[in-house]
Amino acid sequence: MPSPLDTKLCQELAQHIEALTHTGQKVLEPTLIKKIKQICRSSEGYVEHAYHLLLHQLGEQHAEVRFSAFQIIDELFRRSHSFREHLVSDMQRIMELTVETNPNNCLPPPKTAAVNLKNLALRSFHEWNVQYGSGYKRLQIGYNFLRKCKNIDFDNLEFENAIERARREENLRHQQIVNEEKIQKVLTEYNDLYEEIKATITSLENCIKLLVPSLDDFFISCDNMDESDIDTFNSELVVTSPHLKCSNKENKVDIREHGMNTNFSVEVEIKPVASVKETAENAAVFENARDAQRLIKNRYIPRVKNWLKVITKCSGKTDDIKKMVNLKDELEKSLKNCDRLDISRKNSDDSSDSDLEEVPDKEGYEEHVVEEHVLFAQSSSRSEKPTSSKKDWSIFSKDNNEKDPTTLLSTLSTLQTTKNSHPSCSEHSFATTSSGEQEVKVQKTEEIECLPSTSHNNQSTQSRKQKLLSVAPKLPFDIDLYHWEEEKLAAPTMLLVKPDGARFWSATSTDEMEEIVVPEGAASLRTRVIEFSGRHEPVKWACRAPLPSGKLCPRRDRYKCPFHGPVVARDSSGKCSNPEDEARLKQMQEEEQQKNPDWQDPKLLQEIKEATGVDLKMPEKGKRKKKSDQTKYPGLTDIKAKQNNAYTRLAKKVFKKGSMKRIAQSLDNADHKRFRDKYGDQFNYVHETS
Amino acid sequence: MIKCLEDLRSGIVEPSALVSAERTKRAYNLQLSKYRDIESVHSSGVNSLDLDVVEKHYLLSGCADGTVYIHDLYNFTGLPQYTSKLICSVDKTSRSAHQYSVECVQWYPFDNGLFVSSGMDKKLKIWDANCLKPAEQICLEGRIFQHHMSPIGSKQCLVAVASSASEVILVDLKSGCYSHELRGHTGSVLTCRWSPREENIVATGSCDNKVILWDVRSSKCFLKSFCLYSTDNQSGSQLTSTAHDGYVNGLCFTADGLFLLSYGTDNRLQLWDAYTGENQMVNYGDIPNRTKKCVQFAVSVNTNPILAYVPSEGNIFVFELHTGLKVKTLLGHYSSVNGCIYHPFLQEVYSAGNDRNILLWSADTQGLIYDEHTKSQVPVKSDSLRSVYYKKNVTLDTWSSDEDS
Repeated sequence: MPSPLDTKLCQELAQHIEALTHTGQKVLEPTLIKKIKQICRSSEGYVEHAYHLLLHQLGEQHAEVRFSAFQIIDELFRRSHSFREHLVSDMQRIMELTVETNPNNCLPPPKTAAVNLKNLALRSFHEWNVQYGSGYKRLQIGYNFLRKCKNIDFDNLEFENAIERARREENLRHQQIVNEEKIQKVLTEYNDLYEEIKATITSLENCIKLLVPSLDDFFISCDNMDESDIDTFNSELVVTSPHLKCSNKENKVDIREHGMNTNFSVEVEIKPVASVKETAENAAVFENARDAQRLIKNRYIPRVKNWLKVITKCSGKTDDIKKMVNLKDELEKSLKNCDRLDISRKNSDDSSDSDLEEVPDKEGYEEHVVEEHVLFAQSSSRSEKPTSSKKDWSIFSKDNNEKDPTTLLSTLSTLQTTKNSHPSCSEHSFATTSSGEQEVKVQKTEEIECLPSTSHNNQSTQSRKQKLLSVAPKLPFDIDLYHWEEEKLAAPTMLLVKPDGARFWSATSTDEMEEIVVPEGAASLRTRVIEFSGRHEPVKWACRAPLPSGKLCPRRDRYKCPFHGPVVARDSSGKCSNPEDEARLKQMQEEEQQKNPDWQDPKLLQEIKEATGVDLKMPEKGKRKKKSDQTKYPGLTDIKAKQNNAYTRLAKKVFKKGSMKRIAQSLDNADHKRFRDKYGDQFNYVHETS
Repeated sequence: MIKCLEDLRSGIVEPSALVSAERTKRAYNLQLSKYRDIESVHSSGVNSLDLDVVEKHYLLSGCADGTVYIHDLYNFTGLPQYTSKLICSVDKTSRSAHQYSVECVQWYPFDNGLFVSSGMDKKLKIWDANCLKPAEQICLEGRIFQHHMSPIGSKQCLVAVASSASEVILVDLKSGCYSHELRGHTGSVLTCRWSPREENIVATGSCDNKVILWDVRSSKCFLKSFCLYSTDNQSGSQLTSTAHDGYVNGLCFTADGLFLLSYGTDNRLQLWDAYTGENQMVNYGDIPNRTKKCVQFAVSVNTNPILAYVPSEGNIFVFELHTGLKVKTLLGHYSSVNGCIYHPFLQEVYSAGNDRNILLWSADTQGLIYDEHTKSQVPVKSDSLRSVYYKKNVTLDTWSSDEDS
């Protein structure tokens, strides 16, 4: 039994191993590994201790840690027999942790380190087996296990790569075959259509030639053309280029004979677009050209373009591509010629393509309805318009009409006529009636003034009343006014309708109906509902306090932002434009900070920390305490770093609880609806569904 | 050893005691054999092993892909290094092979010209070992987990078959059809064993957690159902008594037939008195066991404390039978071990696992003696010297000098 281990050395060993495995480097630091070896060499106990420490590190969920740990293991394995014994007895577990023999227990991220680890481990196993296999039977068995059961080829360590490569090659081959097929198809199509396309092009060109002879034709024909030919030409050319013709003639004839000066100039204006009139004679040519043009435009050019796309995508031969491009150019050229000649103009006028046919206007159809009679009706209805605005209520209804005997206006007008006809009529009685009327009248004072009220003593009372009335509040008619004069109001009641069954089933007599008092009692008849009559003024300013994100606070509060205090004027960068405001806000902030308890004074805390080593600082509000491995081991790759890729972003949206719920809800609804549609009218199912 | 021999010579010790002591020593000191191997030919996990009863010469093994292999274990080379060669095999491609996994193989106990195999294709096949052709093929209703022939019943040739049907079926080899159905289990039967002492007694273990002892002469009712908790065996409680808290997937009688070991998925091993049905209350501790099919395990023969070799996932535990003491763990397999058998003549254990290996565990006494012998004869050829030197070198510490600094 070896002597008991020195705890200090053990601690040192643990520290070294921890440090060495958490560097994240690919190569071990030579000084540290030397120290570890030194400690292990002194006694077998340390070897065992180191073995257990390393096995623990090998179990870490970080491929870089495992990689470094396995490197140390490899170093020690080649040194110590007892280490080998231990390792070989635990071989199964080590294989699981390094070369993922257990498919349920995969290697941890990061991926590159995991691949490296696997390769390193397999190489090491191979070397170990060659070197030590004869002495350690289990090592041999393990090696054979990897080779036979896990199909690992130790010769070139390409266990999975081979499969992957085969798959890739297969894919490539397949792609090539597909490409070949596509190109072949395009070529056969090209060959099939080539003649046709060529024929179309030549026919179009010929048509154009017929319509517009080229300059060469002119010269040839001019020399040996008989009169009639020229005539026919002229008949066309008159249309096309009269100026040109004129100059042509002049070349032949002496100008002087025409009584012209020698030094005259003729301005030849060549129209950019030659226009050819379609006549009965050349209609067939036009038709032909149009057909050809349409064919080229709608059929051949898209086809050729498609071919080109396919053939370039499938990386076809350059010769083929050239052929196609030439063909396309040719097509486009002829089409351009055609366009210049404007052959298709008539075509479009015909609108044979358009689906919508114009229908001649129907007789008597008026596009704009005349609103005259409507207007007339409006104006006629108000021959004597009341002055009151619509909002204000008046006893006079707006529809007051003199012809209507029930209205006030009519009575007034009749009175007026009677007064006019019988001036000696007793005024007194009339006045009383008028004054009685005035009690009821609230607003129509102008109209009332025109009424005859000549009595003097009535005049004063009337003016007093008027004064009072102008002071009195004007209220629209409502339930409280309805009950204005009733001194004792009985609380209103209502009849309770029993919800069960129709009235056919129950007794109809009202005695049995329950009568209950409205909860508010008589007060409900005295209350008046007054709607808010003020106007809503939208807030025109935002808080605009600077936010940590660099933006400005977009909240629109009238007086005070819940986050940034009272709203003050700020400039475009969020600074207070008024220095007083700034000072005030600062003061408020300081006060806020003062609220921290005094024992949280940072100076005091610092002192305490120095003296006792305990950090008593309260965690900041809203910030979670986080002590990641990242800060502890800066060398390691952070495997917990949130991956911000398209997948996670999408997943966040798609698998959001709310959206899932919504979708489930709508699916449920759809299901329910379908079910109801199917079975809803069947008695058996009605109760189950609803 | 020397002292024992001396005592024997002087007549203090009986010869049998010497034999027993040596056997026990070997049975205790099992390790992965450094000198001997079994040729690795298996194309998938090995499910079952059997040694022929008469000579213990041939090792029969059944594979998960339906193949059957026979290895020769005898070493006539005179050297300790030896790899047991494959003699013959039933190929997967041959028409007579099992369609699915072979779960159990067994030699006919009285003649190694015949063996029986069964498997997941619900077929029990009786093979002529010499021409490797099935002489008879019996189709059963359930997938067969294990079958067993009595090692002593020479008059009757009954094969007990444990299958996924809840009845245990006895197939008579003479007629080639079922003779009995033993009804008592409610779940599929995972294991069955004939007693090596009483030719009519068979024990079965099942998924309904029961271990039942049958007398095949009265197939109407079973003899006994082992009960885990109560020691008094009332007939009323027999119907409900369970031997384990999980499936019973392994049974083994001791060589004298007095005790029965049962192994369950409740991670327990139980020792029962085969006559009284009493639980011997031996605590073997927790033995991880998750396989839902038959696990073959073995006990040593003619050693003083009897040892049990119990496969548990990738390891084989060695227990003292009557004390429950764990003697050793045999580490070697890289995936779960399906079965192991004990060689009573050589005191060796053969184990079969899902890692397509049959491993040989022995005390390597022969090899060690041979090594000492070669070492004593130093002036041999330089070749062998180098090889010996190399072999020694492998297991030495090799701390390099640069660690001194």
